[in-house]
Amino acid sequence: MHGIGQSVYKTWLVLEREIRTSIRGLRTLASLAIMLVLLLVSGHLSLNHYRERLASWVSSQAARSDATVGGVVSYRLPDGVFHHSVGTGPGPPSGPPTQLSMLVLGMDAEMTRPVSVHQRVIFAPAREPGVAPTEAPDFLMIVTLFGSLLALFFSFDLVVREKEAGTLRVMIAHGVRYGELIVGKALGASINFAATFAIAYFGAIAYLHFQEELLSSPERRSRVLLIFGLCLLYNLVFIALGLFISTITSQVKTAVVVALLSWACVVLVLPNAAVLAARLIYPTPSYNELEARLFEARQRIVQRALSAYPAARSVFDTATAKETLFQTYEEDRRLTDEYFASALRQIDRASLFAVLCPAGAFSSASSDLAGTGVGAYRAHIDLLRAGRDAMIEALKYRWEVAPHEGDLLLRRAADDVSSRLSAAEPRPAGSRFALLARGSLLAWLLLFAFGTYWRFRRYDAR
Amino acid sequence: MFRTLLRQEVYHGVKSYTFLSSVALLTVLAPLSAYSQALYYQQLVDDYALRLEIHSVENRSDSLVLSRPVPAFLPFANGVYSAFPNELTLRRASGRPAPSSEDLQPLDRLFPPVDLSMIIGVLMTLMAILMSYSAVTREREQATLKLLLSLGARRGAVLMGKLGGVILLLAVAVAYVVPLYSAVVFSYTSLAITWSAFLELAVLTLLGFGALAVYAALGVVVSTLVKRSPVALGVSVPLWALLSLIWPASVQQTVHSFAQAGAAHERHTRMLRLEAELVHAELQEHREAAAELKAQSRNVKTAWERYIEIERRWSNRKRDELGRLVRQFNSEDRYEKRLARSLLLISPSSALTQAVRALCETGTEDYDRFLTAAERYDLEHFSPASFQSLAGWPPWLESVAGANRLQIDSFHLTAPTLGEKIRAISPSACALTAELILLFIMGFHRIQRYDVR
Repeated sequence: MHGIGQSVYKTWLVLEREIRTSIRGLRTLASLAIMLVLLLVSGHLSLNHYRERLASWVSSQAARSDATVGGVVSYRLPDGVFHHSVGTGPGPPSGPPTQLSMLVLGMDAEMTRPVSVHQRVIFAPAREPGVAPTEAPDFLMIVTLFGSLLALFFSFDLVVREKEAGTLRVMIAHGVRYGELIVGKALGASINFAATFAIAYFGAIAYLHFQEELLSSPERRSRVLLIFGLCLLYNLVFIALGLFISTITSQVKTAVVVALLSWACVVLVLPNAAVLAARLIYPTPSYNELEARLFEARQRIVQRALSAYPAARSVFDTATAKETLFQTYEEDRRLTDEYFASALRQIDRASLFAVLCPAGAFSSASSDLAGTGVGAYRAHIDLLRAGRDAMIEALKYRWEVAPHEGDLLLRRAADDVSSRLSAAEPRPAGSRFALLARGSLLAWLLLFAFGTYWRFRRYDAR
Repeated sequence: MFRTLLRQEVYHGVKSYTFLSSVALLTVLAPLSAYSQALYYQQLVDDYALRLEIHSVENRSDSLVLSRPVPAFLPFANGVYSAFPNELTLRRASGRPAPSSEDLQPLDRLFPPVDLSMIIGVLMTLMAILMSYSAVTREREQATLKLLLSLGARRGAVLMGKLGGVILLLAVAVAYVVPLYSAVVFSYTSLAITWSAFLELAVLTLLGFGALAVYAALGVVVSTLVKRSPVALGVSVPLWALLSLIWPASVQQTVHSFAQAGAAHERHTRMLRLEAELVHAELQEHREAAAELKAQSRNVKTAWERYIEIERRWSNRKRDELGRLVRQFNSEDRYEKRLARSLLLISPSSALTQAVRALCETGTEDYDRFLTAAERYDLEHFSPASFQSLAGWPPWLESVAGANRLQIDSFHLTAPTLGEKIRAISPSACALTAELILLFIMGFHRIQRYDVR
């Protein structure tokens, strides 16, 4: 017990020294200033971007409640008739942006695209022609790039600096064991960084709450806290990486280069490699290929029906019009479901591969928590599929009822789809990859931590 | 003396850990990104051919879809290509081209792809900073700076030697990365290696080299402002982060939030309202004409001619009025766009990005060119052909095969010439040159007063 107590006390001394050195050397203050400015600027820009998207959605909802302007004018003359039809109206419905997209934009822009749901699902472009894209750097980008860089900055020279200054030998000569030293340094750097990051993060959250009531619901509060926890875990991985680099290099300038290049590798190369691997192993057809297949399938079905009725000018002139149309609905449904299944499989695999690296794991997990990740996207596609199925059933049922009843049925189905798309939050927060992502980050942290411990035990302190 | 210093700097730089590990990392990243971009580009090209095939069958006399060709240099700089619709539908009845459907891009939102402009603009600029931040401070710490000056080397020559050495090494690096990237792209796509492509790649390489030279100069200047290497690092890396990551990502949104130009949703509402008013008035005139012709018991042929005349007039009126509104929006935006473009030139990375997008035809201006070409095609080709078809095939006649097809010239989007592209990139090139000169002057001024003790 006495031995353990001594050990803990020495570790505590090293930890305290580390914190004091960092504060005195202005490292902590500089990091706090940088992180606070970055997160506040990002928060402000993301807030403006969110408000713009929300305002667009609100105005498109208002436009949808206006009556469609249009009509048909018939020119009825003694020797012939022709018609003129024209109309204009709001575009297809879309979903509102989620408030947590201010923190993690993720796939939110895909989920808020206008989409027509009829017997097919047609995705409209995300923005009007002539409107320039103005995406803002969100918290995900700031933490992925700068949070990790700052975390490395806290720890890359913890050991090698002491070695160059000669103080490492002095501490060891005074009876501080290697294990106590490295644990004290690791904890000191982690506490320093965690305190800095917490102040910056909650400062920015407070700003967002003041502007847009971000924390108004308990669900959102818990998600914001979970995202904070995840950010901290992600950055601790880089603290451990920095510490590991500090134990495998013998000079500060070498440690700098190794740290920055490792950062570039982990943050930029690995996630891209993961996505590329998923695209190669699980190719998915493009939306245009789907359209081509739908067109071909429809032509095939219609031609087959018309071949039995040479005099018919269209499918509606044949006795099997109903069966032919039902066939086209089912074929559309089958091909579109195949396309969605293929696209979702590729996204799943890309997320799975990305989860194996820290930056990819962090992106996946944080976007899931914000409701802008793979889980929410899958739910969005399922919603569109369900709406499409409801429309097909309404189209089929229209044949059994009077025309005006059939139109009413279709309109109700369309309104139901539109209202479900516009439904308020919350979006689903979890996917099976969220747990996997957190596990991956923990595994990387432990890997670097054990690597550091193992390496430092063999470190040449001279 | 300068040549000796330069040789020494290059010799040490080539053997340095920073240079070798950076080149090793780029040897992995460049082909990986190039392959990924090549696959993406080839899919877009195949999609484009498929879309042309689909539309050649689906296009009718009253509606036509125009597809935007895929820029040949898209794999080098994606720019904002995927941010805009790549198809526009022209309709006889409406006044403006409208965007059609678009592919899904969920993965690109979560994991943005890396292209050559990002490799040079972010990674290689970091490499430039790492190679130059301790150029002067390291010599001071090792006491070799005092020695050099005591041997008769002038301070300016020392600075030039340091900067020249780093810039030479960066030139070698960029001359290695660009051909490596290009080789992979050309191998896995249907792109042809022509003299024009070679020239464009040469211009791209020069631009990249220019941006790297500015960052190298920045690192050297920071090195003359401080006495210790860790402090120089602590100043250089945040500056690099600000200029290469934060500034490009936030300027546009910041200018937009302060600009007086109207919000996108307000403009969209105004467009919808104007369209609704025009449609309402058009229907009213058609109703009056139909009633008048019926009352006068005119024949269907006369009525059809009157109908076409009304339809043509309303089509032109919608085009004029909606076009006028769009031009008003564009003129409101002009100040904002100019301000954002000027502010972006402050950062060498965003100046490089703007120039590369102009070179690769993936910038906002290239999309505007497509939009303008579509509007001109609508006015000069589609609209006349559509009305001619309408006049020739009245609906009460038996439909004949091909009656609904248009005899019309196909849509061609003229690519800008190399001269036009060079004109477009000249503001960025001038900005990079000015920044380099300014940094050099600052560095020269500082080194004269540098405390070498």
